[in-house]
Amino acid sequence: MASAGSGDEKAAAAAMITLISSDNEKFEVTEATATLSQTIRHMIEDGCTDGGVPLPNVTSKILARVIEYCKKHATAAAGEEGSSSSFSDAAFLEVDRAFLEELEEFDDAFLEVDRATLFDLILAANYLDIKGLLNLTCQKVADSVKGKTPEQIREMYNIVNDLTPEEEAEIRRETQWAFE
Amino acid sequence: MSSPHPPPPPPPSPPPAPTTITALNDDLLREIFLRLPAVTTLARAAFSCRAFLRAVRSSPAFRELHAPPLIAFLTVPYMRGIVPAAAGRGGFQFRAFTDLLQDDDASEWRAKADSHSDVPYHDGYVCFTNRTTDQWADYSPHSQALNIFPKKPNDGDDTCLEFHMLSPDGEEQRPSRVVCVHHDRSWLWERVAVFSSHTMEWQIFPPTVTLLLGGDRNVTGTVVRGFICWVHKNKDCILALNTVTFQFSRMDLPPPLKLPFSEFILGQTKDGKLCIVHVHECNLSVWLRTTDDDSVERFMLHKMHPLHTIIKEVTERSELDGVQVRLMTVSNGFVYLSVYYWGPQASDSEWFMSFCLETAEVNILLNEGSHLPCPVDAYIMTSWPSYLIHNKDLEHVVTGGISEDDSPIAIEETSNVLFTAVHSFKETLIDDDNVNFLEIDAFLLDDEKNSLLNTITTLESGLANARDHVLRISFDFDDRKGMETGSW
Repeated sequence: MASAGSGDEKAAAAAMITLISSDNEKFEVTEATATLSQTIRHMIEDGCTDGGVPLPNVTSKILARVIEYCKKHATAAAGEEGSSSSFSDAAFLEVDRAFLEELEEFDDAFLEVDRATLFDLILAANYLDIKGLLNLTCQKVADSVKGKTPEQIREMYNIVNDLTPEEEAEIRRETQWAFE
Repeated sequence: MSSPHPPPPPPPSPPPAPTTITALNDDLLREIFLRLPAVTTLARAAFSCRAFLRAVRSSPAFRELHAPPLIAFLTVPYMRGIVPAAAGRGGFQFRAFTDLLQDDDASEWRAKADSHSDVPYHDGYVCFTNRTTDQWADYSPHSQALNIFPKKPNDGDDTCLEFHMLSPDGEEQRPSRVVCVHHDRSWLWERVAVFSSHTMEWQIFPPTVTLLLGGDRNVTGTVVRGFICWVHKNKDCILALNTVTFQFSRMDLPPPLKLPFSEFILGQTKDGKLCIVHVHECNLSVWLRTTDDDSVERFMLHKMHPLHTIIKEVTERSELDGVQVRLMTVSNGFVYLSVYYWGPQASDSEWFMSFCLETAEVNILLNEGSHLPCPVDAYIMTSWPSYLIHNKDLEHVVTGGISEDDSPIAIEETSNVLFTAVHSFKETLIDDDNVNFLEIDAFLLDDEKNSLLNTITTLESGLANARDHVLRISFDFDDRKGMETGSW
């Protein structure tokens, strides 16, 4: 049983999946990378990935970035599995920490994108159901909103204030502290 | 080069317009807003536009994840405010709160020590006395609870009327209600009446069988979901009034809490279960009211959280000798407590923190440079700005909210219901031959300037101003933190 199991894993690691972006570009990725997306994981489980997985909501530009993220984090996940086995001495912990730091740096660098791309990444992460990426990108937006007044937020994101003056006055009456 | 290549691909569609935040649906906006650190930042985001407001309001998740914001600590006996956000800026005692209990010569009622009580502010209640009649009343700004003692003290008749607000319950479709519990001070008898903000009428229940003979004189009721509770330590029990059936029951304290000086507080978990939180030797134990194997309802030990490591980390001390943990309150599944050292190891500092009962996560609220020698009440923003919580259709609330009854300030709303109830109570009971409550007249003098309710309104608006002021300070504080961590 055990050997059969590990054999399957190897087979899975080697299996490649083709992802097709909205502009018809094809990306070959390992199954381990692709299955960071719950959406794709389910498709693989249902056996409907032959001939490629069309992703009509994701452009090639964004899909490339998403794959970059998944590759990095799939390696991280594999690394974690390795270290969670019987080895747990100091050396391994050290490696783990270094790896986590590297991952954090990767995430920070990954987020150095313009706003439109960030929103595209959020939409893609949501569509593909990639928890880590959704968390990362949403946190970035939340951080940008933090400590800003409603006016500043509108300005930053080109939001039209569609509350009527009456409504705003009413809201201000209750929560004046939020505006100054 | 003429092109012998395969036919060119179809002309690329013009590059789409850059994606903006408007592309995010409510679910995604909620994902973002959940990650904001505090209600102050959440409110600012929510008020940017209608879509954001709708997203914020449609989810209670933010409120479940974040401890209700602590606005200030109010010290006993003069209700001075200590504001976490102003700490380190000479803000030990905060001006906005200091004048709240000043004697207002214009009113018959004053919040001032009388012969009966030495403190104008105690246990979260402000004590008011009437200059002319010597009657007194207690009002809690935390819970909008009002205790009225209509007879003059020392008359031998220790009648007490307790008014408690019950917030509306969406699940059970109950509107806000006011419960009046009428009892004598030694709990020899009690009666209950309930006012519904829906019917605007009182329903009076027949007198109930005495469950307690000679209970504590000075206990005050605590409202939790489903119950109003009075802890009678001298009887090792809690007297509980079920707010669905309006039957009293007696709940025994768990044996470890029956010790004479055991300190514990009553509250509720996030899912609304009645709980007791107790700290003994740096262990925080949580007791839940649940049904045991023999289908008997009782308090059972739910969890024991050792605080040793947390205390050492927070205080940066390796010894736990002389450590004191002071429990303040439990709100929405979060315990507010403080730690200081006593005796030879006495610390100059007192550390205030919140502790999440579910996750055991600790959040430092304030490291006050000195130990506060007096009891303090946590002034928590228990009622969220109603604009952030109404779960109704936005169009209905925001547009309709301009009308009077839909979404006025949460505190105003509860006070209004309370005031309406108290006024109507007088009329109801004057018609009731069994009880003579004419004394209550004195509390509701038609002369508005002199009425107790007017004095309470003044106190409430003072508190609301102070609260707004403090929240603004918190904003500045958030802003500064925002700068430090850098942003776009």
